[in-house]
Amino acid sequence: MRLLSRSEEYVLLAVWRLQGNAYTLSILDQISEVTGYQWQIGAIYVPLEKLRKKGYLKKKKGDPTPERGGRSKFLYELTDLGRKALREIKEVQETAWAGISKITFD
Amino acid sequence: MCPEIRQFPRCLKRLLRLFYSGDACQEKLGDFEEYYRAKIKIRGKFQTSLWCFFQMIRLLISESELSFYWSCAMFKNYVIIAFRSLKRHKIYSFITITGLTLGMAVFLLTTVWVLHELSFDRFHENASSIYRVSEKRYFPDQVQLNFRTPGPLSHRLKEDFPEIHKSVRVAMTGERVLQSGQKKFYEDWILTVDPEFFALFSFAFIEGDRYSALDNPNAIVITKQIAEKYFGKENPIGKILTMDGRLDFTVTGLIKDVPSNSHLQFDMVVPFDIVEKLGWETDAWDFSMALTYIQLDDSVDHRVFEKKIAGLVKNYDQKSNIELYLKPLTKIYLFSSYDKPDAQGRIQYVTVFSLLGVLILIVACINFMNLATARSEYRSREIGMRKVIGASKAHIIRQFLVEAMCIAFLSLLLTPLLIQIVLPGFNRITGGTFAFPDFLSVTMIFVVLGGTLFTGILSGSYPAFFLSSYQPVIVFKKSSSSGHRGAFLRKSLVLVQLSISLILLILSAVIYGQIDFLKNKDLGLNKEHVVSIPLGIANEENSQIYKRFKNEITNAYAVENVTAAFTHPTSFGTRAKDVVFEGKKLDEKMPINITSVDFDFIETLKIQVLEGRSFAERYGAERNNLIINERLKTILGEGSALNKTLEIGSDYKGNIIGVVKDFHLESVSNSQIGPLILFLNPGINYIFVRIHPDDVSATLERLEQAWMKIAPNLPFSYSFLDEEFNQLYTDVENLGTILRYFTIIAGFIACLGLFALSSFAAERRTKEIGIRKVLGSSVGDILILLNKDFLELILIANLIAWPISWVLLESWLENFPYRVSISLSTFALAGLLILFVTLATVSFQTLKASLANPSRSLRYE
Repeated sequence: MRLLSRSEEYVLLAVWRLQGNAYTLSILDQISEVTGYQWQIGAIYVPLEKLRKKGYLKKKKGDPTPERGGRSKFLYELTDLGRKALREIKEVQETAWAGISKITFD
Repeated sequence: MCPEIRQFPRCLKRLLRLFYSGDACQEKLGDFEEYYRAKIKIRGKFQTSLWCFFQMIRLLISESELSFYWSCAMFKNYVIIAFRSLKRHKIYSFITITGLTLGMAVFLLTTVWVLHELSFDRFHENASSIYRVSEKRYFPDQVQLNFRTPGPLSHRLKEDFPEIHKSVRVAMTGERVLQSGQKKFYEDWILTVDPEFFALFSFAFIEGDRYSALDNPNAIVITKQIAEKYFGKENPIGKILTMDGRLDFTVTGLIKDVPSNSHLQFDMVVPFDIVEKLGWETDAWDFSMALTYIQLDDSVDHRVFEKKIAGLVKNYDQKSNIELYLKPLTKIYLFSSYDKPDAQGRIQYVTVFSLLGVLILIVACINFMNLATARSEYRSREIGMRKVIGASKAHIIRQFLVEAMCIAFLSLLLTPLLIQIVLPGFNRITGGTFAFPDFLSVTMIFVVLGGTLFTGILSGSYPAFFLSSYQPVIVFKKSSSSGHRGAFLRKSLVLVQLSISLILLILSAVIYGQIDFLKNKDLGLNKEHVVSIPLGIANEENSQIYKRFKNEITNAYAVENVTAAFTHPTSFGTRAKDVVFEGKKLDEKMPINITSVDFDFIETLKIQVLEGRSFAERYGAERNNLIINERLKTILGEGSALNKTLEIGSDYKGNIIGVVKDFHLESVSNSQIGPLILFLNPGINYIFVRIHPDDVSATLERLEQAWMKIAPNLPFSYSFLDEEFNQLYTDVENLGTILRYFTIIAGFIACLGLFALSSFAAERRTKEIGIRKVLGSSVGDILILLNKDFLELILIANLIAWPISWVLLESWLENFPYRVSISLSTFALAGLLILFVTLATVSFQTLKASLANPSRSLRYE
């Protein structure tokens, strides 16, 4: 597996958490909530597009909504490959952090 | 429609649509609109819009970072392919690059020249607030512009108008003899100025103080070059320079040589009072003798101020017909000309040459475009292949633009070489002192890069859009003949090239004709074989020298006549004041020239006497006798002018004893011959010797020996009158020369293109020619067939070029009071020349093609 960048990782996680309601703005809110600061909308398209090209995400057209000026939402979903990647990331993270206790930081 | 929809700023929508299309665009539009609506409630409309805008920029930046890596990879591939195709078609590449190199070299040379012209007088610290006060003199039937203004004006201006910070008079002394120890030379570039001169103009001082250097009435400020000429390596400060053997000056300042982009050119500067010692009136309101420069307060609008001072002279001299006007310092050089106040000045040359520079570059670009599209069939397979693999139209466009850029930059690399080679010649023609470092200034680097980009994009764009539209299916199915496409545009472009060359050719031919006309026009005097010797100053001592010199050489073999005059025939006469004839004041109606001459003047210059007689020694001093020219006679009125009386000034009355045929008083290109009065006076500045045309050098040697015997203290310098007259036309001549080079270069580049195109056409039609020959065509038939296309183009080019050049020439020739008429034969000859050159160029290829053995060209069918 290729390692993902940190922003790609968060985007992937956010899509997974949102489960079927993942479109650009909800992903943005989700990530902002997790990381604790406001992410900028301009910064989200590139990781989304990269993940889609790598085959971790797929995109489909949703229903039009009035607040979007009558335009469709574009919803993102994890593919099997994406789910596998998330699992691998988690394993890598845990391995990397293993044995380092909370006390070390104090 | 929901009113809220309109809230999302339309320009932001456009921005997104500019960079995205399809679903990607829809998604982003939706996202931003939703985001916008959520935020607008909290932050307000303006802030949210601004925020959205920055977000979009950020998005674009991060996207382009991503694509940058891949672009680099493709870019490298494009460059490789570009060089491969250059290598494969060596002749085409050679022609394209040669053409572009030439075009760019010409473009850069003209740019350097134009920038230099535009930089005139801008180096002065206060350049933008300095103005020259000039005058318009109103005569009943004409207005005369004059740069010089009356002597007292400067002080008056400064006293009457607090807006004026500084006011300085500048006058030229004319040719003087300067001496330091044994070193003695004629100096022509001496200015007499008011002490504030160097405070007003920022000429760079090496030594001395710019504010006090001219306070002493015997001070002189000299340039570095003059310091070296007289004092060598020694420090010149405090040294003495003697003028005309009687005025001593102490050097108080040393300045750097005056930059070539200053309209005031001089070698040394002395205080203004000297003018009075030279015998000029400095306090008369009706004698314009000095240039007046003022520095205005920055807050003053010069156009408003101009109206305030316009009638100033009338306050002090009620009879005056002078109206003052201002000319900004930075416009003096470009928008006026010294010897021709009413001319447009250099700006017309600047415009013409910038235009020509760009035209030549365009002609070179056309070669590139034509060759690239003509060769397109060689590239069609490659393009088809790229498209099949997945290149979009944009990719192909980019590829060809990159290729064009490569060639443009390749030519750019060769350009310095070419510039280095032609620079000495260029300097000779333009009279400039350009060196290679001039091409490396910041402005020039922008021009070079801009010019190269322009060349690349201009010459690459058409091939790029043309070639990228190929359909792979058609390209692979058809065997060839794609060269037919774009033939119309190719022809039009060749037409443009031919027309430009033809216009330039006609222009240079007629301008050459006009120069020839000016130089050979009958002046009314005979300028051949006349030696002119300047005396420096009209004083008693020099009159004695002249008399002894005349006696010494008059009887010498090979000397036909000797005479002298106060002014030089290339600008003959000074303005007469208060000329009264039968109670009427003539000089109020029009300017009248007057000058003093010696006996034999009319004989020496072979001026025809129409009525009466010329001055002769047997009638004594002839103090009260005058000779006038035909023009003045017509003003005096009907009947014989002989024995009538003219009053000049308050205390002089003269009797008209002769009328001479009109002869030119100045450059033929300037104005009609004005009225003239000649009188006899020992005060003279120039000696004229008519010599026998045989063995000129021996005669000159004899003259010099006689001179050294009589005036060992004065340097012997001479020139030939005809050469001095020819020098008046240097400006026009330079225009002619430069235009000639432009013509040759444009023609050469166009020929290169034609050569390549004809070889392409012949190649493409190899089989057709083969079949025609098999069926019985003769070599001549085929030649006609192949040349027909080009013949058509030449015909149309003539139709385009003739009216354009006629209009251009008419407007140029309007400036000349004496001019050639534009004859149709010049046009026809130019057309024939182009026809001949074009046919010679293309025939090389077409002849080869028509002589080819058909069995060979049809072998594979």
